[in-house]
Amino acid sequence: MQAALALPIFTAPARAGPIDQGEVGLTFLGYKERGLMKISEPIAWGHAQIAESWEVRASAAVDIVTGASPELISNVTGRPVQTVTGASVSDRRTTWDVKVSRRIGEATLGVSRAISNEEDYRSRAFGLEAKLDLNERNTTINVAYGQSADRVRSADDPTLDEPRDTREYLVGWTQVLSPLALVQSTLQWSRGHGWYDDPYKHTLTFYPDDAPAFALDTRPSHRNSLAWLTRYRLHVPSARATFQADYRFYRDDWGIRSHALEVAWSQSIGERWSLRPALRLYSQSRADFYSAVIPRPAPAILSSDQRLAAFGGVSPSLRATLQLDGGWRVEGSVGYVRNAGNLRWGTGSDTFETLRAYYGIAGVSRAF
Amino acid sequence: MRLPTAILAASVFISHPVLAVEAGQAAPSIAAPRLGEAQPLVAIADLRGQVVYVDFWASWCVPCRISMPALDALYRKHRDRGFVVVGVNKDVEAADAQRFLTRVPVSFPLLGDSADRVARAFEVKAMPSGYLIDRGGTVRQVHRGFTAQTAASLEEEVERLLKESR
Amino acid sequence: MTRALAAISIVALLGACAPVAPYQRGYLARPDMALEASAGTAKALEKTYGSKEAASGSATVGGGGCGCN
Repeated sequence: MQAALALPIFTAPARAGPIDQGEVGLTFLGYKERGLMKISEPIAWGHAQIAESWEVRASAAVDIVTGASPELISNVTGRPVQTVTGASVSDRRTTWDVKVSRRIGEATLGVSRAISNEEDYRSRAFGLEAKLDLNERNTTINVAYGQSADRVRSADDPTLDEPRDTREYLVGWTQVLSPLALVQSTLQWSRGHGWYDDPYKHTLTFYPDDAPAFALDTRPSHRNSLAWLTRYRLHVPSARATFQADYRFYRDDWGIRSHALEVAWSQSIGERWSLRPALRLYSQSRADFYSAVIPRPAPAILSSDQRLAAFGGVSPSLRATLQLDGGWRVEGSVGYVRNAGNLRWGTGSDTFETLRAYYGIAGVSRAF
Repeated sequence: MRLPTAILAASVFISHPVLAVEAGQAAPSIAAPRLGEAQPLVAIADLRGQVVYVDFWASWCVPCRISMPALDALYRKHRDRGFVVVGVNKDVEAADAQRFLTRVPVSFPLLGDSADRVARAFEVKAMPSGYLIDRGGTVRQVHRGFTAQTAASLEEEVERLLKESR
Repeated sequence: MTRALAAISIVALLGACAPVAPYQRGYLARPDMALEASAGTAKALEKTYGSKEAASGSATVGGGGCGCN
């Protein structure tokens, strides 16, 4: 069970250029994991400027997951035999979020609310943000606070009903470096406590000389993390293209450290098209309590969820955008994700089952 | 490590002294070519005797989608009485400006300013920026940004300045 | 941690040197110079990568959680 903290609710905190009067759009995500899970997600979104100093941003999405998450069974050599849970699982998640902000002089204050509902998980979050433009709007600093109250349940176990509370703190700095370049760096701290165990996962280990061991997925009751995100944009007028680089470092008290780097080249073609090839590289270390097999003696906290393992990932993608008259824009992306134990910078978990997935994102929007 | 970091952070807040052309000052005497051309240069001083509104605009400036038609309407209404709007374009490429003008056409004269000389002379602090200059060559009103209030306030002030003699 | 703060301060100091004037922002206003993709695409990408990785966190807070099994 993953707490995907901080779904992005809005775009660039620093206005290097003026914002639009408004825009509405519809985007569709399709994700297919080789042999297993499929996600379809329509997302409706929009933002509008109201009465010169107010802005509203909102989005709604329905996440439809079919197929199943693999349930791991392992044996003593550590080689997991992966099986898929019996009947196919269909899971649906509905999310809403809204953000209202007001500009006062060079400052902007905002409040946001996010709601997420699933059969077995409920999340209610709110956020507060303050931004300040300095130095003739070349510099923007922002601070934000977010709080999330979640409830974890289980479709298999009706007695499970546990809370999970998270607080997030963010400071960020955006700087215009030249008429062609800008950079942003943000630090986000998160402190969470509550139920983190995945109610659907367990580990089963066979030993040659002993009875098999069974352990439910158990995780610590707190999770504190730090994420440092830096983004860089450089326009190259002679090539009519922009170079983009994003790097995120993450560390938490579960022992996980990760690096994510994405570089992209957004190329303008003609008056209306742009094409953006990109490459994303990912590397993470394993959680302290991750193990594909149950060691002897069995620890109190153990999870064999692959997402907590040590692995690396490579994901190339391509995005095409078409700007039409009347403020219409059509955008499409395709990507391939490959996560594997041997792609990690360092040593990966050798029991990691390589993940191969494809995704496609298609969207249409209208600016007004 | 703490103190140097703090000094680094604090030094950011030392900004350069901010000057600006404000109401009551003489309009800078500067010349610029027409949009898309290199010659001849049009001098703002040549327009003395008329009420002039120098407007800095660009295709990427969103409030300009409102300001340009509003200024065009004002220009058409009062041009016979000696009012002229001069639009100084800040696009790097004239082609971007032309594309904007096909969507938002205007009839007042347009100048190019690729070397930023006019913008620097007027010490432009926002986009769009408009400078209302009376018949004697003195700046009377400066508008930064453009809203419905700007249009109304400008209309009133233009009427008043047109009644003034040199 | 201290390194991160120092890095942010250095980035800030760079900016104090030569502010870009408001009329020189044509390139910075380009959509590909934005720090995030359009709202729908950004949300879709966060979901795609975030549900398969242990790490999370972006430039915003208060997004809530999900029971992403």
